[in-house]
Amino acid sequence: MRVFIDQFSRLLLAIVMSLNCCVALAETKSLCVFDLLGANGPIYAQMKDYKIAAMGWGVDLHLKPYISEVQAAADFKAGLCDAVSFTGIQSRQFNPFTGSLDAMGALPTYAHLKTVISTISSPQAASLMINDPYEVAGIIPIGAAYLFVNNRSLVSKNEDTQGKLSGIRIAVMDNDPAQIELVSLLGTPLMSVTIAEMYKKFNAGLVDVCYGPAVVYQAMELHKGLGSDGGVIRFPVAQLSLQIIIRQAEFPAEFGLKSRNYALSQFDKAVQLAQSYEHRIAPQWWLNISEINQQRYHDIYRKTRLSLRDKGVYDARMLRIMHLVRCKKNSQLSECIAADKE
Amino acid sequence: MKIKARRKLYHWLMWLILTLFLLYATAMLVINNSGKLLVDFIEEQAVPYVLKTDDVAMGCVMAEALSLSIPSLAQINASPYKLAVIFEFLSGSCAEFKAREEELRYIRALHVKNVTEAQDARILQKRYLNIAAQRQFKGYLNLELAYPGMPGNTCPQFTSWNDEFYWLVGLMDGLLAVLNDLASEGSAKVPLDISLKVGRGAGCLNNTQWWGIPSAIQAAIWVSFPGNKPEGIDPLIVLDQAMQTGLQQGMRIVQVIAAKIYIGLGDVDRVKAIIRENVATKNSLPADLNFLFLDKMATLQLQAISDSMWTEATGKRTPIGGLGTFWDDPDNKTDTVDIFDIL
Repeated sequence: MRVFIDQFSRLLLAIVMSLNCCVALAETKSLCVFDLLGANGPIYAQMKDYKIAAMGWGVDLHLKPYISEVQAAADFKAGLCDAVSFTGIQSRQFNPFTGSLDAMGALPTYAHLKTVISTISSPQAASLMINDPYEVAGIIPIGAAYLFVNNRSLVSKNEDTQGKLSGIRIAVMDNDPAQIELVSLLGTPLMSVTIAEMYKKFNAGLVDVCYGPAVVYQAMELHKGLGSDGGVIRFPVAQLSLQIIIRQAEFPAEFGLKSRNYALSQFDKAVQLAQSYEHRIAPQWWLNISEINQQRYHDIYRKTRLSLRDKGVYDARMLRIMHLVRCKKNSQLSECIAADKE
Repeated sequence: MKIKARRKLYHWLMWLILTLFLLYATAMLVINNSGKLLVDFIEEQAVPYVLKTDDVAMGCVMAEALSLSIPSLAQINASPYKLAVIFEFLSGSCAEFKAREEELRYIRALHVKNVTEAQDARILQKRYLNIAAQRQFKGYLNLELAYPGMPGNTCPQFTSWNDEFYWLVGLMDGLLAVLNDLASEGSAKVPLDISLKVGRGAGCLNNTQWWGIPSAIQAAIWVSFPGNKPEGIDPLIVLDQAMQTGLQQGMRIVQVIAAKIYIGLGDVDRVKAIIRENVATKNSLPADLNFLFLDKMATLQLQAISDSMWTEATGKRTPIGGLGTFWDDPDNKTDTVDIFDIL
């Protein structure tokens, strides 16, 4: 009995020591986090929770806050960060496949988005998440982007005319070729701005249309720009996402897959938060658009996507997956039998 | 005879009614004015008195205990809104301190790679941040009740130092409510436009008179929302000038705002410099005796920031007497003599 206890104790000690050994081997890696509020912001707070999860996968992440995502991307490229988290627009340069997730008008609901993220987070799709030397290690929704207009007749007027929106001034972000392309297709004057300028110009009446997730409505006081005649068009322009990208060789083999599963597990919570900001926009500001206009919007966005695909901005494989999801959820869509499918 | 008795009865009845009426009127007068007197006393005597003390923990507990009953003063014809602004600020700071303890537990757990403990600490931290945000939001709403329609739109006509003080505290309530709500996953549903209103509301105060705090608040807003920054202004230069304005008057509370901005920007060296400067100026620039409470609060807040940094690096908080020093400071060489010959 004594021998047994002695051997058992040794075995237990060996197990404990081996566990300590493995935990102690956790590698330290840096994660550059973009958040407008830096280390005091909500995305940084989200990454504090991600840091705990990463510790469980054997990596000790050191978080570095950035208030500019362009700077975060530059530092990641320069090797100053082993991993980075920022919006899908920035991630396009590191992985055009996931960077096309925010393609114009491609995903009308959060259910569509969930199906796409679930599909591409599966082990079978792992190769699509890698664009050597980078790997996408997770996608978390930020919220649907909506159009904010200072005159609701912009919606009703164009229902009848079917023409181009020649007189309307639309603000587009200067670092997103997709937005610039859309505006040129619409035939409207281009107002290229930084994100910092966009909402200021809208509130000052210098542009008629701007866009963003519902959270900016309160945060940037867009009610000033909407005035008494404006509104928010209840038709998502794009699904914005937060993407975590790692330098694949720096991380353990299974890290990316585990991380993508973690990000997927955060999907519902992130959508609830986005919807809570949408609910803060009073019902009278929401503009529902007619079936005819919806069809027009779909057509314009589809043309934009195809054009950007041909120019190499959007990844054809992601457009194809999003097309499949749209047609799976509604097989009656005209695009499902169109000759020029995405 | 009967008529005479009846008259006497009427006479006494009249006196009784008159007496009761007078008693009632007096009681109403006392009740109505007691509410006002009580609020005036707390606003003009008790709060300034507390500001001269230096036991922040006791101030926090006092506010936590009394905050619930402050609005009841409105039932005796008083306007307790300004009091609620400061009581909710202090009770919010109690919850913030608890959240910071959980932040330290989270960092310590990560230090020893205990994932479950770290997760638990984060959950509790978010709960406390939620409580802090709710209390601070209530404080801000009371500012809106005290100055209807004003924060962010127009500036009030301040009639006294007290008025301006409560305005400043109310703005801090609003800013902290937004930040703490965002850090706790938006569970308190604090309107985000408060932050821009606070930035504009800070412009209603004289920056020099209020120890550089109004400019520091504006700098904090401009760093996060550059679209609202006036042309040609560098928020960090404004912030440094604000710190000097505060320090010259022996008021170090502005350093807390500055340290939090630099933490947000990830500039650890600047945060260390601010903490060092805070400690270094303690002797050369003694605190204003009328505001010892605020000076002590600033020290505790900077100590909490220092604790986070120390814990992240070493697993332990700032050593006793070690505020202003850091784990990676260069060692001071110990002075010794050569004793080779006598060995």
